[in-house]
Amino acid sequence: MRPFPVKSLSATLALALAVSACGHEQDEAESAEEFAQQLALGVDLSYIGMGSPRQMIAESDLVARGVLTDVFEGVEYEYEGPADDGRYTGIYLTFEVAVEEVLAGDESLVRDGKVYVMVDKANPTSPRDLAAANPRPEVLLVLLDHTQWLPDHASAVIRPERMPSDAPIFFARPDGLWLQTPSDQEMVSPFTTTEALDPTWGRPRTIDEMAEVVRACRQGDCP
Amino acid sequence: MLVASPPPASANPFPNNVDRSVADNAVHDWCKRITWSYDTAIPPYAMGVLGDTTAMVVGTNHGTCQDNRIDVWWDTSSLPTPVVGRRTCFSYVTTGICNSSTLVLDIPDIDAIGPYDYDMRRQVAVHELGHSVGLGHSSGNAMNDPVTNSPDLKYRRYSGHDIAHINAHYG
Repeated sequence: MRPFPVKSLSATLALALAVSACGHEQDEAESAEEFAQQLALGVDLSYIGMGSPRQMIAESDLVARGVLTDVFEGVEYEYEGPADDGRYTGIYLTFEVAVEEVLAGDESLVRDGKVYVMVDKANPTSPRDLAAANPRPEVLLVLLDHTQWLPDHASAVIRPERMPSDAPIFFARPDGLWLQTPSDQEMVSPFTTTEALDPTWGRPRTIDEMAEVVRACRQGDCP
Repeated sequence: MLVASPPPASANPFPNNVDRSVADNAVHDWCKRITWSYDTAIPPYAMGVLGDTTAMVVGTNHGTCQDNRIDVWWDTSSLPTPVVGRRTCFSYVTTGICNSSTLVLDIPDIDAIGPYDYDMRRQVAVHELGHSVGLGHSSGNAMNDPVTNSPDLKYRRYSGHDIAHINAHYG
């Protein structure tokens, strides 16, 4: 069973009071859980796990944390002939993430403080609906540069208009895409659970804990 | 290769795939997309596991996919690394009932996992097919998350708990 994060009542109350005090009407106290479920609706992935923190750093292009500032339509691929039957249209969306900290990897891959990440979705899922539901969670991303990647039978990449032409097109590992809002006691992933992480991670439950594992690994304490 | 330890299968509800969706009925018909390449025995193997071990009925093999109402469209394609298999619901009858799923296998990347190509191709196929009928991830069986580099037959079979769920719903 997908373990649902237990909301922290005290954190929720504190945030609600803070929001009330400054008069903001944004749903900043929303959990990332519902958003993650909505995102993953109709998509199930089989993947090779990222392994230990050491393996993850060695085999990833960028590891970063930041804020999910926007969600919009995804990369499309131009198919030819009978391969163009609509089955592979609208199966990705784009996360725009404002990077707050590069935990590992090549910082030069960040464009104007942002990264753009292709995320799997089902054909019927509307990026616009997801954008409206975005609780602007903190995110931790383990990214691979897929700028040059093409699926079989595709001849060209079609970027969404809102993705800068010089920005790398990243893909997040399914076990390297974690979301958490202030009201969540634990981070959530659209595609997996923390239980699926390799035991060498030490069972991190929050983005802070996972980021700390990566930082420690870079400083030599690396399982 | 990784062996994850998700919660015990006994805790799994049904349906437990990400969209909490089931197939539209107990008869699961299927086809291969025109772009399918590699081992053509993989889809029949997975469909056979479903039909032979559960109360679901394997329906017509439509050959090359053309009709979007066919329950399962099988295909092979490169997928973004490190994804080796993907099931998407292409269309819903209504919320919670998937009309047609697309199951894609990245055969070269599956083969790169290790020495058990035959078994791993089938493990991922049985896994994705399980999602199309409502199964979520669990451990020690075909629905393991992430994929498990093992020739053990149990990774190409659904758990007794999951089979009970399928039979209770579709039987």
